[in-house]
Amino acid sequence: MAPKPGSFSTSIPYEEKKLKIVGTEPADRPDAVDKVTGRARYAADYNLPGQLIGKVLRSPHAHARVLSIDTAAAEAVPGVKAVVTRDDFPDMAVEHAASGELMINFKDVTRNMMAREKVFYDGHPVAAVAAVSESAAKKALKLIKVEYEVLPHVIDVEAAMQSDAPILHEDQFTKGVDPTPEKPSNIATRIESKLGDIEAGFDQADLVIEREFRTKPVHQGYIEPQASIANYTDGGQVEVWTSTQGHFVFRAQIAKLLQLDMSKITVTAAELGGGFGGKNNVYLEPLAVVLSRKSRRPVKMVMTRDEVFRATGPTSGTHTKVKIGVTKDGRITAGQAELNYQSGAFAGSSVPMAAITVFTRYDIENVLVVGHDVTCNRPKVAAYRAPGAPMIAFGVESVLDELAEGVGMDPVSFRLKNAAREGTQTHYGPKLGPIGFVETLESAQAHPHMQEKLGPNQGRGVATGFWFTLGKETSATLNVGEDGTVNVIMGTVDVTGGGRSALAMVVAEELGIPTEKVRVKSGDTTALGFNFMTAGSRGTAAGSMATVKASRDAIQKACEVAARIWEVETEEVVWEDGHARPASTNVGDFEPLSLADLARRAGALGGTIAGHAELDVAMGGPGFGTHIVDVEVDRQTGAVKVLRYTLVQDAGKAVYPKFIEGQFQGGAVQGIGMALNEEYIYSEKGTLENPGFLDYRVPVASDVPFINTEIVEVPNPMHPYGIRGIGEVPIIPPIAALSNAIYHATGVRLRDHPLSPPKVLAALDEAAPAIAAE
Amino acid sequence: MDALPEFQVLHPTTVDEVVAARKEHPHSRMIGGGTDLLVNIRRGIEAPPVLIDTGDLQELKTVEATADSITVGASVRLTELAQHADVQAHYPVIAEAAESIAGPTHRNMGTVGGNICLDTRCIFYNQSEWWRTTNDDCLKTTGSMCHVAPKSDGVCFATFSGDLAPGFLLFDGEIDLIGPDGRRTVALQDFYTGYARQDGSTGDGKNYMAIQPGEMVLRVRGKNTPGLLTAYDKVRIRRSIEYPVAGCAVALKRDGDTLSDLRVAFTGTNPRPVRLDGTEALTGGPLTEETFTALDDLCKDQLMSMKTTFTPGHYRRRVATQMAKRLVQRLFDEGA
Ligand SMILES: Cc1cc2nc3c(=O)[nH]c(=O)nc-3n(C[C@H](O)[C@H](O)[C@H](O)COP(=O)(O)OP(=O)(O)OC[C@H]3O[C@@H](n4cnc5c(N)ncnc54)[C@H](O)[C@@H]3O)c2cc1C
Ligand code: SF4
Repeated sequence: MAPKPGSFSTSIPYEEKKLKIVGTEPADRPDAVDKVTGRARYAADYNLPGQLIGKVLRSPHAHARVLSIDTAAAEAVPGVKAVVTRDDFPDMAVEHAASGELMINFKDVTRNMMAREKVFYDGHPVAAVAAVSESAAKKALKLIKVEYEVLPHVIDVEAAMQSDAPILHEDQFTKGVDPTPEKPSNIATRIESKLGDIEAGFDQADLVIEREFRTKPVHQGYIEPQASIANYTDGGQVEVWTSTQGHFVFRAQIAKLLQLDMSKITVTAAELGGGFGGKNNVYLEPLAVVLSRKSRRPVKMVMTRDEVFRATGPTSGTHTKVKIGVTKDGRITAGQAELNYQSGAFAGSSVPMAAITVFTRYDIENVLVVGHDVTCNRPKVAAYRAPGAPMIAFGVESVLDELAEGVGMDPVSFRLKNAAREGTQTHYGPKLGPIGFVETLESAQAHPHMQEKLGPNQGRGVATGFWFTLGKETSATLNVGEDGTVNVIMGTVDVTGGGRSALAMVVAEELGIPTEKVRVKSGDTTALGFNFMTAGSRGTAAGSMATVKASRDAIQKACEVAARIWEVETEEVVWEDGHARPASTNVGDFEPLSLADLARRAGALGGTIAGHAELDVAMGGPGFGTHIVDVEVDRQTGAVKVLRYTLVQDAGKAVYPKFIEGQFQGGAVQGIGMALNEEYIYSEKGTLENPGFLDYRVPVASDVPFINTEIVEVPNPMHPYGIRGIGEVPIIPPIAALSNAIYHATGVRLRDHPLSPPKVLAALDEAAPAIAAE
Repeated sequence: MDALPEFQVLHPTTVDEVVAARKEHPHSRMIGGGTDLLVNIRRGIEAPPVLIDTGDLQELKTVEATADSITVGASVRLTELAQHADVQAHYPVIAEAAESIAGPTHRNMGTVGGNICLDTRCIFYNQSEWWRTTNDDCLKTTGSMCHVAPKSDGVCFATFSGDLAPGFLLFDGEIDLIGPDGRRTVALQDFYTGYARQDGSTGDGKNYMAIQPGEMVLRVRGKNTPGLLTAYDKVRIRRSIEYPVAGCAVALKRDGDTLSDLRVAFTGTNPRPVRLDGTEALTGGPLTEETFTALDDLCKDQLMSMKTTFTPGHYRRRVATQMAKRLVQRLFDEGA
């Protein structure tokens, strides 16, 4: 559900002040050169002496009971040092925990990393092997005999919801309905979010439109496949280097799943080659650790792309219904939605998060949102940038587009008339604080893009998005070197490639030193207090809260050193412009001391100047955005060409504007890909047919135009610099914006994702007689 | 990524050395840029112990394109062909086709020989070893059945999707080969054998080339006809790094208001590149609705719509036909 700040969570209120560094474009991006030259170390680049290669045997069936597993022949293969199956892992009871934006249940996590009673999807792990070479490991995999009892399977969400559908979990009874049903169901949970009186709302409406939408699962598509190397030493120390968005959460999960003390486990987050929410879950790590324990050698495991697609989280495939009513003059009176979201093999889709975003961009008095979390025979879904939001935004923004036309308003004015503002009551609980939604709509309205002329078969679409900024546990440590340069250890992972720079800039601003003097690195799990997953757009927003606190802590220490040099009280020293200065002329006539001056002398005057923070950052400062897109539709092939794209979003405060633009552009491009051609295609047997980038079609540079961006800044009142999370909002509107644009180009509405050429052509065909009749 | 199996790579510098090497290593394979072959090797589809690289064969690296004829060596890289001024001037269809292949880095490596000999494709074939085993290997590899057409009775419908062949087919292309028995020249039309069995041809998606064991492609050639206007177009779902959904090459001649010559060829639709049969009947008069209807009929008759790719077969045939019509109209207008 909606993340709620605890009563001990920290927020530092917005401080309006003149900034020297935050908001500028420093030349230095610390990670860039090594990434370009190939020197950056991703998880697959780590090697240890004596290491083995681990490989996973995966289920060829979508749904089957695992009757027996015989590993004898595999173990006899020369070079094979360990084979593990379900018998090597303790079973887990039901226990829920947060992992990124989705909830996990350890009973399921252990079954997902290694099947126990049943396999639930094509690609579900059933055994793993560690051997001296990949070829020996693969040879062994072929010799493992698994006896399956193949069961009927169900892939699509609507089919899975039918009462006669094959049931995945015989012990799953729909939660959230009263009384709890007696028959097991694939519907794990029903949730509801309500405001006002929905019936009365529709009664006030002059025009009510209700539509149904369907989306296929899409994958996060990170370029770096999952990779881990684990070393379980004879002394019982566990070291893991892995590709993750949250090494602390991974440590906790490894500890739990393998019943180890956390203190014995060190997890290091390697340079990340993309995650987007897909690297919030353990897959290989526990297997590598146990293989290492069994073989007494380090074990390295790297997924193939095929495995990434088949067994790591895609998003939910969805079926949604949206019904909205408006008055003649364009005021929305009621909004109703049903969200049926696949969670894959185990319960826990993004439907709770998606449900609270449904109508939150608009001021609507009467709302009813119902969501279902539905298990089916696909990989367990993982978070993907604003998990669940793009799919429901597709429905809501399409219906809004129809309504705007119905009441004779242009799409932006219609949205402006109904836009959420500070004080708007949301349907999921809180009233909104200061937000920049109206500003994004107004900027979009005024953008030169809106004046561009459209030719035949061209159309313009508009859509909007909203997402939260997660706070949660965040730690940081800052050490000032003897030369006055600064090392910051952050506990979040630099998932965007800009995180380190942004934090360095904030620290530089706080300390009053140049950004180049600050180096930020991710620390391993022994270096800091707990850090939650780098998810929910919190990397810079929450990360900087900890670094601000750590910086101020260090400044306090620096002032102490100055006080000792001047032999005055610490309170008589102030920090200004990177220097300790006497608080007033009464204190004495001392030359200001720079951080370097102080650092040089700190050793003998109390020790290293350092600061740290272990916070539970308060959640806050949601982000809003408005997108405009122009397309041209080829009526003969159904191909949709994206001609122009403009995105306006509230960043609160853009620390490093170029990176913000990059995030906006990246999000929009992923959204365009998701909208046009990305989809999971399953065969009748329930195997994924397109587990590779050739046939799972993410867009390439030639598919997208330059994405124009505009940053709006309405400060987040709960952050000293006003920063909001910005990474997720940009992926939300594209499906809807493109679908609306296609409508305005052709007169045909697409409600069945993806908006791929064959589907567009089929929709044009279907509508042809109707359009001809008009 | 799956690891590659071990193999040896030879780098001969003359064609004679190739012939000798092929004799010595009967299970060897020729490799140009490797942009197709290496993918298949990595997927465990084949595991040749020896690869013979064509990259150092200077004699096969030339392009000659005049108003009368074109000859392209097998080792010519696609980028060079696409950017060759004489090819662009006299054979735009070939330059355009080359420019449309895969992505820029593939074109820098990919060769003309590799493109002409490109393996046919199918969703049941271009998959990892694991995937193919799970889905009961089909008859193009080690299985006994075609999963696209279970009643095919031993016939494979895998699709040919090389982009260069259609253009050369328009110019009555020929292909020079060398092998253990010396040199020979084959009409491109006969070089490709995989038209499934409906038309009586012996080949299919598995046996799609009339190349003999130990033979290699030296050159591909074509003869021009004065006054021909040519162009290439291609539908792909993604605009780069993508095999064609369908590709279409058109050549035509316009005399006054008369369409006096018309040639159309396709890739991406059948187990071979298809030079449309019967287009002469559409010439000799003006370009009218009837011409297009007749063209439609020829396409319907000769292009297949098997489900060998993710884009439905009927969609592929339909857009292939549309492309042909557009190109014909465009070139006819240009010829005015
Ligand atoms: C992502 C991607 C997209 C692609 N898109 C396209 C596309 O749009 N259009 C297209 O046409 N192709 C496409 N390709 C395939 C390929 O890149 C090109 O066809 C290229 O021209 C192949 O040439 P090559 O030299 O790399 O062939 P190789 O891979 O080296 O060889 C291909 C085959 O030809 C044989 N061969 C090579 N040279 C000779 C010779 N001289 N004599 C006899 N046999 C020979 C090899 O043994 C092998 O069987 C794509 C490939 C990839 C990976
Ligand atoms: S067409 Fe049939 S035989 Fe040929 S590759 Fe496809 S499934 Fe296999």
